Amino acid sequence: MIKLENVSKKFRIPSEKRYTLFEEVVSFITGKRNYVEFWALKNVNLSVRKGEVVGITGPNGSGKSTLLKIIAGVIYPDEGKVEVLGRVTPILELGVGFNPELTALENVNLYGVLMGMSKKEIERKSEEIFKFAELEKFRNMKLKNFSSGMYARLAFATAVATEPEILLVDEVLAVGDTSFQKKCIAKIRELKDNGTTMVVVSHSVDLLREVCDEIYHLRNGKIEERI
Amino acid sequence: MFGYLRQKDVILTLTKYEFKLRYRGSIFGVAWSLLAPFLLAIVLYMVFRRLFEFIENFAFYVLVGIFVFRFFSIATSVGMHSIVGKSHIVTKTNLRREIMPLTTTLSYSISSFFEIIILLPILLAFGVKIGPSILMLPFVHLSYLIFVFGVNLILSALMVHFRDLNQIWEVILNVLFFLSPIVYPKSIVPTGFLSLYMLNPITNFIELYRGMLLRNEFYVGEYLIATLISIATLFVGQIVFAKMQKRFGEIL
Repeated sequence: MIKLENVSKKFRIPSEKRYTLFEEVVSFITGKRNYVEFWALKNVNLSVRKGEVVGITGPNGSGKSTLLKIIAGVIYPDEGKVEVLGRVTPILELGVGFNPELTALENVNLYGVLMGMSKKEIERKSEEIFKFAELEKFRNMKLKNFSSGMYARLAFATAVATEPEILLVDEVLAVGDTSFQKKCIAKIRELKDNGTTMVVVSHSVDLLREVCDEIYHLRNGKIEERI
Repeated sequence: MFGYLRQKDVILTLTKYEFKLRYRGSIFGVAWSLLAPFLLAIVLYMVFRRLFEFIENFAFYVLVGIFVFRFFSIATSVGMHSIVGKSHIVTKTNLRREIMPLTTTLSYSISSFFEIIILLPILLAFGVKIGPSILMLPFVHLSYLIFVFGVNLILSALMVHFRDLNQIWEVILNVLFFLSPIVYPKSIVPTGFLSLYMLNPITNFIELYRGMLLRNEFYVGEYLIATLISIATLFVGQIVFAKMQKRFGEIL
């Protein structure tokens, strides 16, 4: 279950970027502290019941990813309340932590634990992961020799193997060729039937229509309409 | 507060691969990394041996000092990048962020432990008597690890805001090297400054390792003090980190 109440997030964009202690000290002494504030999210209310699949769409910069990151606990809201019950698996990007110098199997181990699986769980599921990714033959190949499609398939297969209670997906369903995309959507449906709560972010309303119970349109940090 | 320590699988797996990638492709990986400290020890020994003739086994005295300090200097100079350098994990997963400085600290503490183990046969060959107090080595090393982890928590969190911290830290490490009894004995520090001098926690660790490796002695008092300082550092580090990590997601 996910519940957001009046969530707002403010970003400060410094008009000049200060990254070093030296610059920080200089600007402190000269009394200059210039930044532009803007609200990436403003009073967002969202409630997702257990087992429900919610889609979020909207133009670039409308706050879709910010919203997902707040649910994932990667960034914290400035105002409002966030309540998330259950084990969350965020797929904000595919293959986080993948290392080109390690083999596919080693990368599955690495990515798997990052996504919250235990070693035993990964060992048990590695067969299934490679089968889903259609990469059984490449288990011991170094990742640097993978094509980007293979890379994405391996990552997606590992991420969905976590049996998440809550799955957050950011624009990653469009990976691989058409047949793999179909497989991804079938997998999302299967997870949904097993009672996984999901929030899916995508530009493509058509894609969202295929899997979501409810679709919201986000614009300028506000939920504008239900589609 | 320290709930993330229970996530054994993530911590151990990340440490394993970090370690593996560091020594990838070179069988002599560890051996190469030992060349620099040995050379430094030889040079410092040559320069200072007349001055400190009265110290027994002065060559090994310097060598052990360098090895102990090395863990701190390398683990912190690498560990301070553990958040900034793994920003993709920080911004794209919900992994507890303390785990990143922890795995770096762990993987360097393992190499440092091996380095000290490698020293043992060399010491024996040169007639140093190693006795049962060597059994305390893992406990001292654990205490040292806790201290380094605490420092890494603070440094890695600060690094997110101050990207030039590594250059400042390099200077601090150079100063610390000479503020620790590596090339000289503690006894030459003027008594008036001694209590100030002892504020440097590395001093205690150097003395502890030297006791175990060179004199078959274990200083219980120093060990307790060092451990208390380590735990205090860890708590401070954890509090600072927990406060600062809230904004990591947007700054990185």
